Amino acid sequence: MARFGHSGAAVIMGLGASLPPGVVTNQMLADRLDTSDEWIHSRTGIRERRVVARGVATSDLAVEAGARALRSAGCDDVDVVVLATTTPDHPCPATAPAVAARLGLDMRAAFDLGAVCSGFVYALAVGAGLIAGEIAERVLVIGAEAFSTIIDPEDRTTAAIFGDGAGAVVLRAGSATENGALLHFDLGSEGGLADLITVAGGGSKQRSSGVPPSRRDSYFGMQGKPVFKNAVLRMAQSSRAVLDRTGWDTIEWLVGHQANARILNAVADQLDLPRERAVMNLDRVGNTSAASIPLALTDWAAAGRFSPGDRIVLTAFGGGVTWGSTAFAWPELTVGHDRHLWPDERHNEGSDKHNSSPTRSSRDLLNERFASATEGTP
Amino acid sequence: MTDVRFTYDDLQAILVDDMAVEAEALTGPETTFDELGLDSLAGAELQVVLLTKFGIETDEDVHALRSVQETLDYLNQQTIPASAG
Repeated sequence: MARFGHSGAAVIMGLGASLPPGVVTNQMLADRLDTSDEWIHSRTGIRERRVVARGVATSDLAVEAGARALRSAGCDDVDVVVLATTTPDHPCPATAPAVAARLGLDMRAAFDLGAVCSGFVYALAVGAGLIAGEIAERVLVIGAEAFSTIIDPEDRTTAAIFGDGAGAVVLRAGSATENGALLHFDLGSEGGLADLITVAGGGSKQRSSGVPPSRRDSYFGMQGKPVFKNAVLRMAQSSRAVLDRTGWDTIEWLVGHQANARILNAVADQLDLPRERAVMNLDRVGNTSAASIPLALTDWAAAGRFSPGDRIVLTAFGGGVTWGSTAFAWPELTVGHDRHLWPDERHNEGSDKHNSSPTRSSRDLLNERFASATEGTP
Repeated sequence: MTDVRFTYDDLQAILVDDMAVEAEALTGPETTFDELGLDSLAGAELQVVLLTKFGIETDEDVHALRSVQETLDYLNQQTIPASAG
């Protein structure tokens, strides 16, 4: 029987993230779609997002984030790799074994997990369970998405919201009394709302129908207004559930899935938390689905905003629909500084391989990608 | 089930306290959401406030509301579960 308590707790010992260098600003979207910087920013809080270059896949981002998390943890081995993603490299096989192999973790257990934007919190719960059940001593948990590959470039709503990226943590067996110990989880789903967030085609349901997917069914679709309402209510309710179990009367930081600034503000309001306690980096990276929470953690940690012992709740809502939350106190960590998270530093890079005039190169990249958008399915 | 009458003052309190509307912008029941700077997501934000503060479940029609008066009319057609009152 898995034990959660004073022994067998999963403790965060490493954290890292990765972003592709290609920047898509709101203005670049406004240049080709019926939208504007003001329209996008006022409704989402997003100014720019990252997209992968042609040929770059989820595994590439996952490997880089995983390597940084391992380096942050000061370890080169784990027992299991869990990859949360909505955009695996292939429908089959899972992407995690290839990621593990490239990280020098061949022969380790490795599998993908899908809970869309809740995937990272679900994967943390699975990692914690493997440790509590003494199946693993150390688990690398990655959230990675090349989400732009399932976005309809002509859809001004989703193209404005979603971006690509990856983040990862290393969990180790430890004690629940330590900083970094994942204290409690709250997970849930409501399948009756599956239609709110979908890629309708490409799976067994469409394939067995014998009818090729329409263009619309080939891409990601979302019903924004009901998603907004459910995301706020579920993340607030789920956060309260873990807060009740920890016995904390307040927290220093709420790290919510970076869905939309107004969703995160509304969740903070529901929890009677000052809005500045809701961590937000979506202005620079957009909604990166399963990658958003570890990306936000890395961003805040690298900027020195967390102090050891700070009480933190992670909460997410995603397709399914699914939701999940967990709580921990911030541990002593040295995170891999990902210079691409900081726009100010982007322009000061010297010999970095990614430093090829980001704005111009990403425009080329966009033109190239979107010019071929009507060729077929993503 | 208890009928609830939402007054202009009640709605003004929601808009100002929960939806960051400037009190001075509210000049009367005919004030439109456009004039208040409320966009297409405001309906979803209003839904959350009505449910969590007043226990009122609203339907998709809430997204079609365009003015304070329309919203008052809509809310006064809704009922509130007794348990939430």
